[in-house]
Amino acid sequence: MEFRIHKTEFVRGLRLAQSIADRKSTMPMLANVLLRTVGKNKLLVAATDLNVSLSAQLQATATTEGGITVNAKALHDIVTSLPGEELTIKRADNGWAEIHAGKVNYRVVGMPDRDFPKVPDHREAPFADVDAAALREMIDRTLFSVCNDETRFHLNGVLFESNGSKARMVSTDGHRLSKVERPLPGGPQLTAGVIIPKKGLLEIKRVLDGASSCKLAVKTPYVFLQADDLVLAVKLIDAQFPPYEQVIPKDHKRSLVVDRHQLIDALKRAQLMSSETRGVKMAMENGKLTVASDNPDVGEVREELEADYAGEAMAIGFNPKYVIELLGQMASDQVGLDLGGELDPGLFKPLGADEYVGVVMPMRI
Amino acid sequence: MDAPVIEVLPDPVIDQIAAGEVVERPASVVKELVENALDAGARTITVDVEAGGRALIRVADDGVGMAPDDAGRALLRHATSKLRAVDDLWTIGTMGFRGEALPSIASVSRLTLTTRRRDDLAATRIEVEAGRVVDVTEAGAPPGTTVEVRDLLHNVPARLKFLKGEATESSHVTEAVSRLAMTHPHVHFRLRHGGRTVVDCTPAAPVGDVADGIGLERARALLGGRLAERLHAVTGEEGGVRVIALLGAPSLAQSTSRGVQLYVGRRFVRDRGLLHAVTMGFGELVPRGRYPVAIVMVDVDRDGPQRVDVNVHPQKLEVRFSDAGAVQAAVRHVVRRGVAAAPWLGEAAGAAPVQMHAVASMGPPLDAPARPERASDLAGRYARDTTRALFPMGGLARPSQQERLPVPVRAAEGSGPSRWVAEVRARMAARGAAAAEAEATAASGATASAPSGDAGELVAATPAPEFFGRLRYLGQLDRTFLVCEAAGELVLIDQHAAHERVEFQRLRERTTGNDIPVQRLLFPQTLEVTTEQAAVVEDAADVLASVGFEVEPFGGGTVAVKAVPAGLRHEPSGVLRELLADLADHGGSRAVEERFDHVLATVACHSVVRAGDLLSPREAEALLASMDGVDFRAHCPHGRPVLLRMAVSEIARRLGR
Repeated sequence: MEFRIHKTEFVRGLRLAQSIADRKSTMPMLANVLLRTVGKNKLLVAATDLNVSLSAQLQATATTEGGITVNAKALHDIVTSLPGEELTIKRADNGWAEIHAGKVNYRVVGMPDRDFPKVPDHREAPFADVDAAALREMIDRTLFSVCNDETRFHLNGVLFESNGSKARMVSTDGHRLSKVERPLPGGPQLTAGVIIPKKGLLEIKRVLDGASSCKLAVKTPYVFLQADDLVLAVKLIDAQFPPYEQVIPKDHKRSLVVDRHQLIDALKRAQLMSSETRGVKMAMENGKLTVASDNPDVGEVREELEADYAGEAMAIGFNPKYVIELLGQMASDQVGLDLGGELDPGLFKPLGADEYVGVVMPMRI
Repeated sequence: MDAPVIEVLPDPVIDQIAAGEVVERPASVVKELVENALDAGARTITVDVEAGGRALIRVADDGVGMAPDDAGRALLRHATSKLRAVDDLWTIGTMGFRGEALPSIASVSRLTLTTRRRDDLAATRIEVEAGRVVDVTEAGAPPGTTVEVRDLLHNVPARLKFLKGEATESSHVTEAVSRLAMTHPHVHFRLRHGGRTVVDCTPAAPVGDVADGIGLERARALLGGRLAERLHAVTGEEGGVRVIALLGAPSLAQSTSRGVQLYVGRRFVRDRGLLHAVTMGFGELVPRGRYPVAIVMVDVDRDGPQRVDVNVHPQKLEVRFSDAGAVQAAVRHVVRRGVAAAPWLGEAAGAAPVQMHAVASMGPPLDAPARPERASDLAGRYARDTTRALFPMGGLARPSQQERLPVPVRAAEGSGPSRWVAEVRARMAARGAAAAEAEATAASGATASAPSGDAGELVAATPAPEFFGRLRYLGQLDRTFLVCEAAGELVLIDQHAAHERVEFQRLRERTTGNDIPVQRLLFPQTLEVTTEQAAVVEDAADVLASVGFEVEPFGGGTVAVKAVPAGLRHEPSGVLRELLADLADHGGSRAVEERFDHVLATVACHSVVRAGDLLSPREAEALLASMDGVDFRAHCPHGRPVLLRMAVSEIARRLGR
């Protein structure tokens, strides 16, 4: 096997491949990237951690056919360091790979390509064109509240629902929840929602970064994303997402509207006096919201904000990180907060047409 | 008319069913027969086994023997010389009493019983095959009784199939004989497997003044080598409960509870409550999840308030106490006392010439804060397992003063959980004042027959009040240990353990009762628990709430968790599970406080330096200074030592100066 390829073209594929390749796996092969010639002028670059797989068909000139696998991180670092615009890679004896660029010659340990795991086949998947920016935005607005506790794997991803004209993404870590809806014409028509794992979403975001349009397909147990010559296959989480509609409060006793930027700033200031275990207290009374927190080790802070509030006075505690992250994903100037009692969930929503809500469970402090 | 559907079973069937309960494997036959021999007053018991007991089990004793008529009757079900009335069961002094063993064994084997009383001229020999007497003859034999069991389970192929290999069955037989030999030190036991002598213990003097105690020599003979050398014997009595314990050094601790042998009366029993009591007695010397090596015998006064029901398990492997809590307390206290006085606590064990002192991050039993240990033990503890270090779960240990906290509501007698729920509430409320009170009560707590003086020497190794602040900081070793110089000694401090201890103390002082911050959950998290644990949830909802858990029964064996302590983000269900299990098993107060501490410790863990963090000299000195404010004997859910001391003279000696 021997091929010649443009450095920038190669790096485009390797950057994604090295982030997917699994360095910590007990299968050494998963740390490698697969390089295999396809016909005379394509090179297949593939990487997988068995849950997320990338296959990219890059422009290259194959002199002799064949394939090899090389450590993805090492190859990426080598290629980015090389001088000139072009390089050639040749398979040598005993699975070594020789990399030449200008006067630089590398010899790198490789492994035979026949041992590389099979990457899911996307050719039969029902791809549909979707708006890449919209998809990206939906991921951003839900990814932060995904649960990182691996024992609750049904929460380790974002629920994706789509009916061909509109799409919805929901995530929760058991303490807070975020839900976003957007028109996504031409999107997949799903009878039931699917859960896309967090790592897969991070890679999807990476692919979407350089793309204006993309194609999406759900073919259980995978979701496929295609952007130009890159294809990602993400294994879906096979589990039941909790009945999220039930925990989004439908009616409320109290309702508050406050400037979103002011609230974020106030919470950030209050956060300086709180800690992982100590929440921030939000007290509301006629026309005003007081954000306060105290920490016996550091001190205390109080800040009053003007607010549109007419109900009876009440106070509720929140983990400030949850609220700040949520508010940061909104775009409106004003944010509404609907409340029941001090131990009931709080519903945050931007004012306007934006179909985005966040639910945060209070803390007892 | 229909034939009757329900019929009384014929006797052979009844015998075989009974055999199913008593005769599980060759070892159970050996156990029953040796017990009979002991009950017959034997001074020498010889057990011969062939092919792991499948082919032959022969138990010969020199006991009283039986008259010809008695010998015949002994093979009838529920025929016994040991019991006359139901009430005798409470005071039963013999190993057996049901009169079930012999007929049961006879029904599933070819059994020959040869017996002769000392004054009889000839012995009686009875041969039984699968429960039927096939021959009764006179024979010549020495005084005593010999029972030969051949072809065990030959007529119960289903059972036979469940037997393990010869080696396994042999080891079970050895175990059965050892257990009986342990509590009968005055009897000569011999066990031969296929002619090879496996056990041969001559009569030995028992420990203590209890006639049928445990023999220290016997224990050494049975356990052999390494284990036996490091056993320490202790006896004690509390509320009519006598306890004899042989305690192994903590370094022998094992990951299974097999090292703990429990005897009630002279019977080997399995009892989780007693096992727990023994482990608690060892305190933090044995980390959580590991078990000490200990042989503990419990006996109750026949005239005392305590009653033991031995008739609850077919093989008598379990017993019931009328007040299990009191028995467990007695065991815990005696073991604790024994541990505090044990030579291995202070020794510089033969193999390790360097004397090192490790001060635990919490108080070891009996106000002995300094805990000399072997260097190798310590090395083991510093295994590079950061997970363990970060979430220290070790040490069931409760410091001794915890035990002695005055419990104002003790008088408010209730039943079951409600009693301890009240107790816990009182304790939680009293916690603030606890430290001061504990000191005050410490003296009065050290009552009973505890050999005083032993603890005193150890206290001398306690760091002086300003010990840490006066240390000269030399540097950091492996980014994990602070190396310091004190007057005449080298001091190594585990930076993570030390900082964690400081942080824990600070949190603990600040947090009283109900103000653990609580994060409510969006979706109630369901947890499968046992019915006992579900009952705990109902009875003790507010106790759980005081630790930060809001839990409700969810029907069946499921509970719904609605709120968890903030800061315990990823392991709340694990902590809750342990809490519920502890509450259900041990009736609680300790469990709650321990979990409370665990919650705090976990929180503390997040905010402290870890192994691998580079500390500047000023940071290190600040840490040392803050350690002076910490009471290293205070409660802590975590028992890793914080520091290690090595005398300069010792270093000099090692370097040949």
